[in-house]
Amino acid sequence: MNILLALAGVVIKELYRRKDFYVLFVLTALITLLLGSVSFFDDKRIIRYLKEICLLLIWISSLVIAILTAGRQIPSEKESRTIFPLLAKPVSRAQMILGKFLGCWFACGFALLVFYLFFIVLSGTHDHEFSMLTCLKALWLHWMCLAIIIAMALLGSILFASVSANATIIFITAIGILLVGGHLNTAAVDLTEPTQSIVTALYYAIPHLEWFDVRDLVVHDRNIVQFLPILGATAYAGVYTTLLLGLTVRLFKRKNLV
Amino acid sequence: MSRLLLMLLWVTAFTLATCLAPSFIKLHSESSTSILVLLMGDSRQMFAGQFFAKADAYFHNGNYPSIFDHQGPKESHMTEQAEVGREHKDDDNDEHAKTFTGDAPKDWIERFGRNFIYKQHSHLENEDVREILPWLKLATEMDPHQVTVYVTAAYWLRVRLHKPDEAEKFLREGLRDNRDSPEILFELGTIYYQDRHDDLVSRNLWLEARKKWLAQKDTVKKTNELVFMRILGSLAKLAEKQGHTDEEIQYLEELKQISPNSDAIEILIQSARKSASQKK
Repeated sequence: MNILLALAGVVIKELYRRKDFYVLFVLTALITLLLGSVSFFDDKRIIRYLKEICLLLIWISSLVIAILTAGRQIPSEKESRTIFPLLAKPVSRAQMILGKFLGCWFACGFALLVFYLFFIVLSGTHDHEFSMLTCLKALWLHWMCLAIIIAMALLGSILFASVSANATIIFITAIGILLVGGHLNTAAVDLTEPTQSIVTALYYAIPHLEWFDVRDLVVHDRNIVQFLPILGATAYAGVYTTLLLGLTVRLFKRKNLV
Repeated sequence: MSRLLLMLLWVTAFTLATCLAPSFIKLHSESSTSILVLLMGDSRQMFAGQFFAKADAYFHNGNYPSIFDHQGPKESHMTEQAEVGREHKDDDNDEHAKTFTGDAPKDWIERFGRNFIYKQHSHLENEDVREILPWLKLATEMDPHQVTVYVTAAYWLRVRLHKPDEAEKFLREGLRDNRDSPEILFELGTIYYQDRHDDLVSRNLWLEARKKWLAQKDTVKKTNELVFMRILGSLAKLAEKQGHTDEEIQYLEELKQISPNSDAIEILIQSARKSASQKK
């Protein structure tokens, strides 16, 4: 466990040393505050559009941070050749992957906390009916979603040759699942065979990231998500993350690092 | 000599500046508009449609059928209320409500996913309706020829938010881009009638709206008969209020020809004739 935490600590340090997080946070805050200064029909109490845009920017920023941080872990260790002394110490390849995953996940969790803190301050000052509980549930689900995405990016970093290719593919996959993942079963109905079977199989195989995106509920103050479904979604994220990490470890063990 | 030359140069520069400044200002304003057109082209209309749908989604508290749902909403309550002029009463059994509550989930993934989405059919209450306004404004920025958007925004500004000044300002913006729109003129007239209690201006606006509607092509007329009925109904009501019975009967006769409820209009005509004969 100490090895995992030590490896995770290095990744967390890397996040606050790099400028990605700061740039994205400043951009999110700047765009949101700029849009907040716009007055529509001389009504200062209009807030939902601002909450929606702020949450959209938070999601985009978190995806960028998660994918880029996770995607460059193994390639950068290989490129700087620090992977060899690291593995020469009593650190197994599985521990290395798990440590990197935990580091990325905790770092993203920290970044999310800062982003959501800004969102809470923004909403709290403008919206008197703002529900903190809904926001905290959204934050938790968002973090669980990032666990799957980070695991996907780590797997991608073993499979794909370059960091940019991996980041692009994972980004498109994640956005694709978030946008259409939940509708594949509906879309499959109108298709002909064998496309119908392929799309249906895809529907059951992909991790349903759209469950974790409850932005609409936060924007429209609908505190409808109960704790049991949140628990279910957390377990679902746990299963997918374990599967993806297991596959990553398996592939990484077989990979020739020289 | 050099001073004279400098003076001459200064005068030339000043004259040139006064001549060219208006042209440059005009050029600048034209180019800023055309940049949007140049960058987005006809896709602006698509975005305008998306923003309008977004406003409707907000009106339904974030619950809105996706493009994958087989039946999108055939009519929008947000627009319907603005067009008919009275509020729709929620009934979860009507067809419109069913498009929002959706069909039964097809599998366990969809069933579990329903825990994280709002699937009730509800509308924004009271002044919360203000939340739809930014999207309506954006829709008109993208496509200033969407008359329905101006009318819808003005209706909610006037009725729920009690902002007739803002509603009028927005409608006049719309009128600049849609000079021949009977819908906008009618809504402007309604502001003057209901909020400003200025019968004269509202009558003139409604008469202008009637004129614009009659000047439309027959194909267009068929698509917006509802607004013509509302114009004639309002003009008849105003004529009755002012005691102009002949005028009232004339508008009611016109209304009878297109109204699906001609029997009820006939009763109103008979009643107007009776009161006219009693006066004589």
